[in-house]
Amino acid sequence: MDNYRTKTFLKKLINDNVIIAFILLILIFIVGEIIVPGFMAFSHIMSVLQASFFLGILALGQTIVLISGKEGLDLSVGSNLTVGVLLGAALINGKNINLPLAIIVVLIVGFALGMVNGIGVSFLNISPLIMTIAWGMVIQGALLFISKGSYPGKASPILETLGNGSFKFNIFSNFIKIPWAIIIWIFISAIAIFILKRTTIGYILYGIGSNDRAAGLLGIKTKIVRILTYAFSGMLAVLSGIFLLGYVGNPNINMGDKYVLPSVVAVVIGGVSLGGGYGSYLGAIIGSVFLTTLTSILVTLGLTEGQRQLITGVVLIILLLVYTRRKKD
Amino acid sequence: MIEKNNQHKLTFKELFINAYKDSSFPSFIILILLIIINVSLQHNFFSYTNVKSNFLTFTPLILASIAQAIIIISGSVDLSIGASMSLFTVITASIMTDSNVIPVLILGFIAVFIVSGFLNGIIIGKFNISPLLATYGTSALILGIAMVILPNAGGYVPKFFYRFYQADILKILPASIFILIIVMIIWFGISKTVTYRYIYAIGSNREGAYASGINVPNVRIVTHLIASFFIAVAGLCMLMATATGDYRSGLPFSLNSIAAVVIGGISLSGGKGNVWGAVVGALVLGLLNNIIFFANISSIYQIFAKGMIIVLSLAIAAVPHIIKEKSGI
Repeated sequence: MDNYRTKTFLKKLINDNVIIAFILLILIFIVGEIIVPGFMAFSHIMSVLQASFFLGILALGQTIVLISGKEGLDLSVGSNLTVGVLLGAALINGKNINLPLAIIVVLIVGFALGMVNGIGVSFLNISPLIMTIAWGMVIQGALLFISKGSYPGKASPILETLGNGSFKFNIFSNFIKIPWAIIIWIFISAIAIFILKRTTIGYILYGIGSNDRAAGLLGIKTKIVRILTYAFSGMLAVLSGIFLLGYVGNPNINMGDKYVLPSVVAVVIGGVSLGGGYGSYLGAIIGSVFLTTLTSILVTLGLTEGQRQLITGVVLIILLLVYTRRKKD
Repeated sequence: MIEKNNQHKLTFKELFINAYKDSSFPSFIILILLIIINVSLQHNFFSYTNVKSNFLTFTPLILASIAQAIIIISGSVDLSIGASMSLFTVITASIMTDSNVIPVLILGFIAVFIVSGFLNGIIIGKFNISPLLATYGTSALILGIAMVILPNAGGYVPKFFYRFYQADILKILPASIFILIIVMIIWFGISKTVTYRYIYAIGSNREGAYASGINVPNVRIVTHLIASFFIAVAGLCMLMATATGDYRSGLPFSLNSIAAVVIGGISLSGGKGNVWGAVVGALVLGLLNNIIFFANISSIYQIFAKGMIIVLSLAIAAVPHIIKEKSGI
């Protein structure tokens, strides 16, 4: 009896994708320490976590979209992130006093842009992959057109502290710096995981994802909920953009591109099912940190952008093979 | 007697619906309309030089769309077509000299067969990964390979080689159209084989195809292999048109080929439609580009417009679905 229970417990543990992701994370940190001594120092771990924040917020939007099912995916996150960067910079223009209003405006814009994706997917039955790629291209083109090559404005001091600075305190006569980004991320993650796993809204999301028809028959307006998930993903993407603006200080139009593929890989690593209805943001968090660490190791090793792209592509394919094989039915 | 009369007399509405039901019909009408618009903007539209220069630009997309059509009819989809075309140009341009043109081209064809045909075919056919995600992954992988081979656009293409593309065969036929005609003849030959019917079978009813004893994984692999031939030819034309190897050159073709297929009336769920529809769709896209160009819209705005075209064409293609849904199924 006891043997049986331990066996099934272990089996469940191994099958749990989040655990696997966590083990992978530990492994890559060890690899990092081997390659670059000092990798596992507290301050370095902090800066890696800080760098993963932006991907992590994108991954949250991606998680929500994926959970809600119907092969949902949002590939316009790169363009939306760039919108956050450019629009935020232009509105804030270096002054703290502009910050609150700028954030509100940008979030609304991101929400609206995401809603277009949602309408295309929900009402027009366009495959999410294609809809979000196409709409992302439109947004990127519009950005190019509006900006005409000049990117005015920059982050304000408060934003820079939030994006790049740390919360400093003394404890037991040790001077500790925790980046604000990590604190904000923990805050957002706690709210997100709570909503997803413990509230009715979260329950509905998982329900729509696992069985759309049944949810519809129960009276849930699945189409509207789905539109909202894409809207929130858009909003989270621009939010990440605003923080990224704080991290780097000055706006640029190419910032979003390199986050799109990793945002998909991160959520798949985290065990979120691509078919919908299963997974948790915790896994996506681990996935984001894993990927950012991997990239940083590859950069340290001197790999070119092409080689890193190649490796990311290979990682995605391996993940797909491992995680998403469909039954032959 | 009176009833017999009623049966024979088709109302206008029925005639219209019959014609509308033919999937390629709308695209043909759109094509005629666009030709009319183009002629009004450009009086020498039907002149030999103009047709020739148009086809120089159109041919790569026509070929890519033929490949995409074959894949989509089989119930799959390929987002890596653009990346494969870029790969072809990169592999060939990086090692081509005046004396090794043919072997290098053969090498390029083999590379595209393996990477775009075989790899995609196996991942989708044998491992049963969702085609959208699988080809998204392979396109990242292929892009990475291309970036590693030629990080910056360049390479060498002998003059006599790329001049061929602009030449006139027997003084009356542009080379690009000549290539198209040969490709059409090859496709016509393929359309008489059993494999052709198998492709439609697995596209319309995958389970039914299994039940009929069709080896679905093998047919999938063969489909992608056949398509990769056309992709390689598309890459060849692009190489001759641009005379460079550039990992970015193929990127628009992935989505544009899907748009062309959709415009051409081929259903994205597979099993329906005709490869000629894709040709019409590609021509429609090409002519739309012409109109955008002649209406003197600045090039930055063009990116925006092209993205919108894809979104709109997908939206319009979804209309029959919506009508079906609303009529209570």
